Amino acid sequence: MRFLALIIVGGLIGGILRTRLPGIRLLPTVMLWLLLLTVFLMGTEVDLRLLGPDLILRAAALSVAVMLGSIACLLILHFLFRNYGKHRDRR
Amino acid sequence: MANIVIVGSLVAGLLFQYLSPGVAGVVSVAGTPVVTVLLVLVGVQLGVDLRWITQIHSHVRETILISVSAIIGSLAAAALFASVDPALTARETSLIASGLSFYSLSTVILERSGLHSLALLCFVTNLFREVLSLSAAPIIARLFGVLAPIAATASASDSGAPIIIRACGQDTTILCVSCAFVLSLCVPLLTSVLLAF
Repeated sequence: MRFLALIIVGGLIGGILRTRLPGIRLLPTVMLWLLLLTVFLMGTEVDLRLLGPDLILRAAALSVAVMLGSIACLLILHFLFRNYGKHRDRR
Repeated sequence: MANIVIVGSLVAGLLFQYLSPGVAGVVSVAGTPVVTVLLVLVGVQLGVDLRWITQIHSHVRETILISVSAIIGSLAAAALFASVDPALTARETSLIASGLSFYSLSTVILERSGLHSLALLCFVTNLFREVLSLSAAPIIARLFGVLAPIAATASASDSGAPIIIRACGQDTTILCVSCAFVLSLCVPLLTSVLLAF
């Protein structure tokens, strides 16, 4: 909810000020640098020494499996609904 | 090139934590304010360019598709994983997967239910899911399409929106937020239902 609120606040600022916003052209560059900093800080939050190798391996394997499962399901549903749409249009 | 730099930043962060945990612990506190600024800037970008409003009707359908895929796919993959790993039951892996990257909430629910070791595995798994899916977002988008990184990241697609937008384009901003909203609401519901079994 907090993240959503932040994006809405930003949207309001952007919507009100539009092109009058100072440094609007620099926005993508600033965002890229902040993005790299975020990813770096995300890495500093994971203390690999506190976790045993067994736990790390199991967690990594399960996270990859779950991630791929979501993608596979998305592709299957996307394929099914696209075909359903085609059949419905033909009728 | 940007993909390599993003993955490089993650590896640098992990190495920094590994080599000097004390300093990294202090530095990592900056994570929240940096993400806050970044998300406000994502909003500013949306506010400046209002073309996304014309596509809002297609976003509803895609939000449902992605959210359903993230839930069913995660639970199915977790159940399959249990058949490969004899140390975990299908119920346990499904409970972990029901976190949908929302590691803070799902871990607390499991911890309060007395499942301490499972809560730790849940925390690490969902944290890994978020980190891996965000750092691999450009590759996932190239291989499986622009909706796939959102399904892979699940409920963390709002905080990770800047990374996904960079990989998939400005059009995915609304989808990132709406899917994260729907999936974040589903996490406590799913975990509670699975705990009841």
